[in-house]
Amino acid sequence: MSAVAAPDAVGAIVGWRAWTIAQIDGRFRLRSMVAPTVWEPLQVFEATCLRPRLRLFRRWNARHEAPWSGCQCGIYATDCVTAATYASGPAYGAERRVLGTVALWGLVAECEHGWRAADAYPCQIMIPEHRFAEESSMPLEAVALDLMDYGVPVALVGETELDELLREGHTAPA
Amino acid sequence: MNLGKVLRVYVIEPIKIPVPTSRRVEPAQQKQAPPVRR
Repeated sequence: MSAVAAPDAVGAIVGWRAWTIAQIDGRFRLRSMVAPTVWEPLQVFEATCLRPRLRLFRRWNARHEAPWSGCQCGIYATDCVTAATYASGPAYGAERRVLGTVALWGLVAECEHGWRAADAYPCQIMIPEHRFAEESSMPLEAVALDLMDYGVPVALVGETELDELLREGHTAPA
Repeated sequence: MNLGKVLRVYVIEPIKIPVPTSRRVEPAQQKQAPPVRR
C-alpha cells in the first residue's frame, strides 16, 4: 500500500483504480471493469452488492449493504501499480481503459491489497493516450473532453509515463 | 481483482464532490480538451 498518499479531502481515503470507457447516450463515461455500472459525473457512486442477482447465489444470502465482510462487494481501490497494470493490459476488442485516483468514504473495508468502499468519486483521471490512438471509435480528444464532465483533473499519459507508474508507483495527487 | 483479507472496517464521513483540488475544472467553465502530445 506504499503508493497511496494522504487523502485529498478530510477523512476520505484516496486509492487508485482503473475504469473501462463506455459511450452512454453519446458521451464517454467511466464504467466499472467487472460490472456494467456507470459512474455518472457529479454524482456519488454508491456500492450495491450485485451477487444476489446471480441465480447461483439467490439462496445464499439476503440483501446486504456493501461492502460486507462476508462478500467481495464494494467499490474497489488499490495501489497505483495494480491500477496501472489493469489499465495497460491487453485491449479486448474496442474496450479501452483509463486509471486514476478515487476518494472513498462511508463504510470502508481495508483489505490486504486495497479497499472496498460504500461511496466513491474520482479525484483524477489519467488516459493512456497510446491505447486510444489504436481505436477509431473512441477519439482521444472526445474522450478527454467528455471525462472533464466529472469536474476533476483529466491528464493524458504516454506509454513511458505508464511504464514508470508500473515500475515505481506514484503518489496520489495532493 | 483479489484484495485479500479484510483487515479492518471503519466509517468515513461523507465528502463534497467533486473532490477539491487546485486544478479542479468548474462544470460551468468553458471546456477545453487537454493538449494531445503527438
